[in-house]
Amino acid sequence: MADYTKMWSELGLDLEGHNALLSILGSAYGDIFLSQKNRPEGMKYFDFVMSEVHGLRIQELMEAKAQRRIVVGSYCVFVPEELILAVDGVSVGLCAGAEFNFEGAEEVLPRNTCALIKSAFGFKLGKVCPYLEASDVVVGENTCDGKKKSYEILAPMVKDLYVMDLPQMKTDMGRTFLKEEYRRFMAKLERVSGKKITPESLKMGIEIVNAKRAAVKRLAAIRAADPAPISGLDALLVNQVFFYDDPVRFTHSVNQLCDELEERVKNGIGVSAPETTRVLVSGCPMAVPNWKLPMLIESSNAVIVGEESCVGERGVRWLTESKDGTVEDLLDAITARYFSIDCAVFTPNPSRVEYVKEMAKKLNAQGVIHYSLQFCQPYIVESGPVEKELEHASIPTLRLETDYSQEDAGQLKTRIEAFIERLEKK
Amino acid sequence: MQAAMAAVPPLIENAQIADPVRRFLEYVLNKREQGNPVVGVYCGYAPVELIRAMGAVPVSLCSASQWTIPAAEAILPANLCPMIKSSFGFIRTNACFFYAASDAVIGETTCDGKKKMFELIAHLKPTFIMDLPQLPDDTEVLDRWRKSVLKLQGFLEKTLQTSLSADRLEAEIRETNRKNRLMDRFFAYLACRPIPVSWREIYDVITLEHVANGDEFQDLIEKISSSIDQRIALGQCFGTFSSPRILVSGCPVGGDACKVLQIIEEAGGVVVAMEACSGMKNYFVRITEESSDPLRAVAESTLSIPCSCMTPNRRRLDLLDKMIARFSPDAVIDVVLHACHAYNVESHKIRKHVQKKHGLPCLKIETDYSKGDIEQIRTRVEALFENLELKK
Repeated sequence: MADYTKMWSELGLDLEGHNALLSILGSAYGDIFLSQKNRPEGMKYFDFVMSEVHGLRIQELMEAKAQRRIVVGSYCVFVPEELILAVDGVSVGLCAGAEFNFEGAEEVLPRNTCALIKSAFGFKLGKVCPYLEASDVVVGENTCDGKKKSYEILAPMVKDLYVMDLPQMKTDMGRTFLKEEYRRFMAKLERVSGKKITPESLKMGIEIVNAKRAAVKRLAAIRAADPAPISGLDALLVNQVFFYDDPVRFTHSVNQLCDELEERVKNGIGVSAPETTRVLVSGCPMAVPNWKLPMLIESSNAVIVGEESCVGERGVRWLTESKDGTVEDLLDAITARYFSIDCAVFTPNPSRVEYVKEMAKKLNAQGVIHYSLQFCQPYIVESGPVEKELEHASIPTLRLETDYSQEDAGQLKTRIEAFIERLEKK
Repeated sequence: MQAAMAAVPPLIENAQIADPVRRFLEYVLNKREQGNPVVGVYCGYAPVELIRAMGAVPVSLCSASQWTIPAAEAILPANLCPMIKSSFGFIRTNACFFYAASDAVIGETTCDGKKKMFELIAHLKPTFIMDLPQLPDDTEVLDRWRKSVLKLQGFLEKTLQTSLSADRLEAEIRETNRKNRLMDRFFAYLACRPIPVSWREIYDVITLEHVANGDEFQDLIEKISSSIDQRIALGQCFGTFSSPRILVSGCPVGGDACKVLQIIEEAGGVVVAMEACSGMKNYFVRITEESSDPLRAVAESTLSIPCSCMTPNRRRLDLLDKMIARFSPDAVIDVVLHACHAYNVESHKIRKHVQKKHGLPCLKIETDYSKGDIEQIRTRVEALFENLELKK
C-alpha cells in the first residue's frame, strides 16, 4: 500500500489508532481469508480492494469530492443508493463491524447496546473511519430503537447528520410515507449537491444499482451447486465490498468472478468436498470485519451457501423496475423496491421466514443458523417464531446470539459443531 | 415520621376500595355489567377519548409483575424489558383479568420489544397496532398520525359494532381537559416543602382518574384537597424541610418497579414528582376544544407525549425544565427498565441536561422487577442523599 499518511491526517484521523486498526485488520484478513484453500482467482480483486479499503478507495473519494461530487455515508440498506447516484454522488457504507474503542463508545452509550452501534461510535470517537470523515452527509435511519436514539448523540459529532424516518408496518399508509421520506431525502441530496435529479439521472442511478445487485444475485444463485464453488466467507466478503466499492467496477469484478465460478461448477470443482454439510446463515448484518461466525462455521466441516441478511440477500434480492417516465414514476418504483425489504423492524414480518425457507430449498441448505447480535431486539424476538416455523418445515435451525468479541468463540464453536453433527446424521 | 403518619386519616376513605387495582377491577366489572365494551391498552399513545366516546372503557393491561416473567421467558428472550415480558407472561398464563375482559386490544409501535411482542398475541383477540411516527417535529407527521387514529376508529367501530359521533368525542375531550385541570390542583401540593403526601398516595390519586368521571371525579379531588389542607394546617407532613426532594423520571414505574420509590422514601427522601407515563406526564396534556376536527385535536395531544421513542425528544427536556421549576427537586433519578434501549440511550442526554442547566445531580438506575438489586439501589440512593447533604 502506498503512503496515505498525508490524506489520513488531512481527514483528521488519529494516525496511531488508525495504524493499530489497520494492522489488526491486515493480520485477521490474512488468517481468515488468504489461508483458505482452492480460492477462486476472481477473489484477487476483492483481496486488493480490502488491502486498499482505507487507501486507494479513500483517495478516489477525495478525488470525487475535488470534482464537487458529494459523498454520502449510511448505515442501512433502506437508504437508496439510486438517489445518491442520481445527483452524481458517491454512496458508502460506514464502518461498524469491529470491536474498536468500545470503552470510548460506552462513555456516551449504554454498555448493553448492540455491537454494531457501539462500533460505529467507537470508530467515530476514535477517529479511525476515513469513510465517515470523508462523508458530506451521514444518513441515519429510524430502524431500531438503539440506532434511532444513538443518532441523536452522533448528530453533533458529524458534519451533517440527516435522519430518515421509516414506517414500521407494511400498510398503504406505510408505503405512502416511505415515498414521502424518499422525496424529502431527494430534496436534501439536491440541496447538498447543487444538482437536480432528472428522469435521466435517476434512471441511470437505477440501472447502475440494478446491475450491481443482479451481479450479486448471480453469484448467490451459483452457490446452489455442490460442491460449493466459493466459500461462504468469500461470498460474504463480496457482499461487504458491495457497500464500499465503485459500483460499476464492482459489478464488472463480480461478473468476472461468476464466469469463473460457473466454469468451476461445470467441471465439478469446489472449495470443499462434494456433499459437505451446507448451511444458510440468517439474521443480523455482518459488517466488515465481522467474520467471526462464518469462520467458525466453515472451520467446522460445513460450508455456508447463503446469507439471509442485509449484507446478503436482503440487500440485493429485489431490483428496481427501470422504466421510462417521470421522476415521480421512478420514485414509485424505488419505493416499491425498498418497501419489499423484510427487515425485522417491520411488524408483522411474515415474508422473511417464507423467504428463508425458499432460500434453503433453492440453495440445498440442510440447516439454518440464525444469527442475532446481542441486544438486537427485533431479530432476537423474531428468531423464536422463525425457528419454530423452520423446524416445522423440517429445516433444522440453530439460534445464536453473539457480539464482536472473541470471548464466546469456543462456546459458539461447540454449539456449531453439535449442530453440524445433527445435520450430518440426517 | 412513618409512625406519626399512621395516625393521619387516609386520603381516599372508602375502605372497600382502598386498593387501586381492586378499585379499578370493580369499576370495569360494573361497566361490563352495564353493557359497555372494554378496550385494553398498553400505552398513552392509544387515544382514550376516542375509546370512551364510543361508549367503551379503556383499561390499562397488566404489565408490572415479576411473577409472570418466567412464563414469558419460555418464549421471549430473557434479555428483554421486564414490562414486555410481564405483559406477555400475564397473557400466556391467563392471569390478567383486564386482558380477559377486553373486547379489543390496542398496541402501538413505540419500541422494538413491544412491537415484536404484539406479533405473538395478535391472534388471540381483535388487536389493532398503530404505526407511530418517530420524528415528532416533522411537519407532516400530524396528518399521518391522524390517519392512524382514523384507522383505529374504523377498527373499533367494526369490532365493537358502534359508531363515533363528533359530539361525543368533543365531550370526551372536554372531560379529559377537566380531569387534567383537576389533577393539576392536586399536583400543586407536591410543590410544598415539606410535602404532605407519600409516593403511594400520589399513585393512588393518579389512578382515580380511571375509575371516576365528571362531577364524581371533581368531588373526589375536592375531598382529597381538603384532607391535604387539613394535614398542612396540622403540620402533618412527609419528611422535613431538609428531606431530599426527588423527581423520578424515565421508564414507567409501576408494580414491582415501585421498589425504587419505596427505597427513596426509606432512605429519607421524598418523591415530589414523577415524570414517567405511569406518573404525571400524560396529565400535563391539554386537548384543543371546539376545533373543527376533534379527531385531529386528539391525535395532536397524544403525539405531544414526550416519550423516548420519539427522536429527538426535545419535549421531554422542556417538560423536565417545567417540572424542576415547579416542584424544586434536589435531584433527579432516571429509572431505566432493563433492556429498554430508548430510555437507556436517552439517559445520557437527560443527565447532561439536568446537570448543566439545573445544576442538579442525576442518578440513573437500571433495574427490572426482581428483588435482587434492592440493596444495591438502596446503597446508591443513600450515597446520592449523602452527597446532597455535603453540599448543603
